[in-house]
Amino acid sequence: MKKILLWLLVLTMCISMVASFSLVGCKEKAAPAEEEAVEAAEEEVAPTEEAAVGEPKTIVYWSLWNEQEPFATVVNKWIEDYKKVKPEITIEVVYVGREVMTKIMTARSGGETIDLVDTESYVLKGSLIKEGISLVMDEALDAPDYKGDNPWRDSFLAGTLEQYAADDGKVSVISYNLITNGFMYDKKLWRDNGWTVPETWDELLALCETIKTTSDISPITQDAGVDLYNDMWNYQIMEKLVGPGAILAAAGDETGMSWEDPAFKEAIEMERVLWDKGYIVEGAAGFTWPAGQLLLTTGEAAMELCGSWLPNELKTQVSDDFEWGTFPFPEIAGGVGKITDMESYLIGWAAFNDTKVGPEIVDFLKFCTTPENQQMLVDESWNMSTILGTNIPPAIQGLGEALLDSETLFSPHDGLPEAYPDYYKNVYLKNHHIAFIGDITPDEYIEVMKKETIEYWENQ
Amino acid sequence: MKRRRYIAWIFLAPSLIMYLYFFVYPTIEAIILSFYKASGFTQNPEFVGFKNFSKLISDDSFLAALKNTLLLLVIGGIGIFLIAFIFSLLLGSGIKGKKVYRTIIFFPFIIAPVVHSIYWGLLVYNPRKGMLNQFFKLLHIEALAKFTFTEPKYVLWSVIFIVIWVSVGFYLILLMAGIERIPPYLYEAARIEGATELRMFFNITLPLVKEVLVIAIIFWGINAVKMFDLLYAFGGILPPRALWTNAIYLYIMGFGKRDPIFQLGYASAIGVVTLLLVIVISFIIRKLIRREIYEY
Repeated sequence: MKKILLWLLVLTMCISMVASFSLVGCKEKAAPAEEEAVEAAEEEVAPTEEAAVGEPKTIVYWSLWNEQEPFATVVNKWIEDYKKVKPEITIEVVYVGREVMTKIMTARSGGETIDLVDTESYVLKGSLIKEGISLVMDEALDAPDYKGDNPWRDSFLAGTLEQYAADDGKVSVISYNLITNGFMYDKKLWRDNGWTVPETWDELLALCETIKTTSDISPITQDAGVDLYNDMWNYQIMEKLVGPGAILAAAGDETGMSWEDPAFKEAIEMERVLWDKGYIVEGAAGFTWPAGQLLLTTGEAAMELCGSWLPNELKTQVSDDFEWGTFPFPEIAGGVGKITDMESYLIGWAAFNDTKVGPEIVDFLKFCTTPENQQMLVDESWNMSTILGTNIPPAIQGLGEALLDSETLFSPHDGLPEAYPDYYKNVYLKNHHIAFIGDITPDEYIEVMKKETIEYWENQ
Repeated sequence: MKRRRYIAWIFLAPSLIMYLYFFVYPTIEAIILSFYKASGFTQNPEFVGFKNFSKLISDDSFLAALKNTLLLLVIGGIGIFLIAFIFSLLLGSGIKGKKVYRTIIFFPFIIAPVVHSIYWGLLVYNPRKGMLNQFFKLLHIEALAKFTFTEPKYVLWSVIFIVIWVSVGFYLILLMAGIERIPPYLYEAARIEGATELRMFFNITLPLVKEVLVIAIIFWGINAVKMFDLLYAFGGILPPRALWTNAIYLYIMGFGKRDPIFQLGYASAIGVVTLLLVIVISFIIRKLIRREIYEY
């Protein structure tokens, strides 16, 4: 009996060992087949024909939103409404959170099928588009929209589809959520103190001086522990001084000499004025997010330069009489940028080119991008939509109006995150952060940027 | 004898299989991947030989992360074991309520690292309203009341302090387990001979607790090198660069942090170097602290 038991155990162990190694083997063998599929699908474009009626299909959709966020509530509503129109199509949505691409990378390596993803459009450009694994949407965009009135392409605010197109101009990212950047403040607080919105850099400095000298409120709050928040000052100043593209061009200059452009030094000097004159709240260099932005809600600081997501993020933290006001980054004397040159920070969808449900995805996205459905998102998220015919949320009226008047839209951080993500993180943000808080001088900043840009390109 | 060996293998097999599949196999895969340029999104990585490793040598961010890892390991380790020894001696001196003190000291260890990050970052170290600055304000020490503990120049030291505060309890329990095994008559004899507390510590406690100490130090070394959660969560949305260790840098380069970096091959090279670091550290500790067996 003992012998039988012993042999049974040995057999079980052997089977489990063989099974585990064959799993490894299977994965390795599957790789070339997957490769072929990817190659075959590389040139795949989104079909323009109608999705087959009646045949049950499932779209697996991974989203950057979290289940509790207002965005997810709206997406759930879209899916629910879409199911009523197209009962044969099931949308399996997974709310993964902000690091959705990281999780997709792992899931797809494990053979999991994912058809559709939404995340920041620059992340989609730096991953799916860069790798050539996204479904090209141009034909679908030229076909009629959900209601069949106009080409789908015409539904979008000018420039927002092209902003994250591939180098050959093909569009894969359908951006829907439009975020911008500017100053946030409490209108009531400003009204009570007689402060008015500045339109030039000099007016901004004068206002800061007034706030500092006539109240116990700090003029500007800043979550200066977050390097990318600090960079909002730098790229906004650079856009206003020399226009979009200067930082991107300097990053791409292998000689590093572009950093000698006086505008780069001037931008840092202008940022340092805010610290040296005490306009930025004391201790900000050591703030751990969200310590800085909370000062806006308590009325201890008068304004913050941030993304237009801030009112929505803080809506439960502010008092009932807090009135959100926003205004764009002011013009700078002698600079080329206008006050209406605005940041366009987009969140969008992209489909994988190996999806089996291309027509269904297109149909679902057309449904989601009707003005009525997008208005739901605007109302819930207090952010703008790329879809024409939607309103500006009252909380960001000032920024929204400037954005709609804009003739020049620019990408956040001047487009560095999608073009040179590691340079952006390890060279640009690193050095800007220490220059911004004053650990190095503007001259040292220029020198280190030149040096590290050369080193970066030597290492590629 | 032969039959006993079979049975031993049978009982070892499940854990061995799991170890091979979940540790050895991925390690080998990671080593292979470190010789490739790969994003993780496609199945066609490009072989680049030792390029990822040569890039590491001139990568300032990696060198800074390595320096932070070593500072955390050495300074954090010194702090933890020094305080743990002091506590263990105090608790072993016949103090009343030993178990209560031990529980209090151990308590921070059972709290999630993310909670520590939020608590210390927002409530203790906050330069405007943090408890620490307010405390110094009460004491009228203006220089410290206005000190920014979390600005890039000081944040690592501030976080090492948290790590020490969190970890002391765990290592104290380990050390006390060793110290309590030491027969009391050795101390009694030493006292009769006129030995001071310090002399008893160096001549009795330390040599007899060496076995446990070696294990505890190796354990700390591994924990320090792979420490991630507390440091990563400290900045809220983004871990401050001054807190990047090898583990964080590996994650950022491999998987981005809302940035499309996705350099899996390079991240694997960082992982391989980190693995080597753990092996070297374990080896050095074992060599430095020779294992002498004292029988008592």
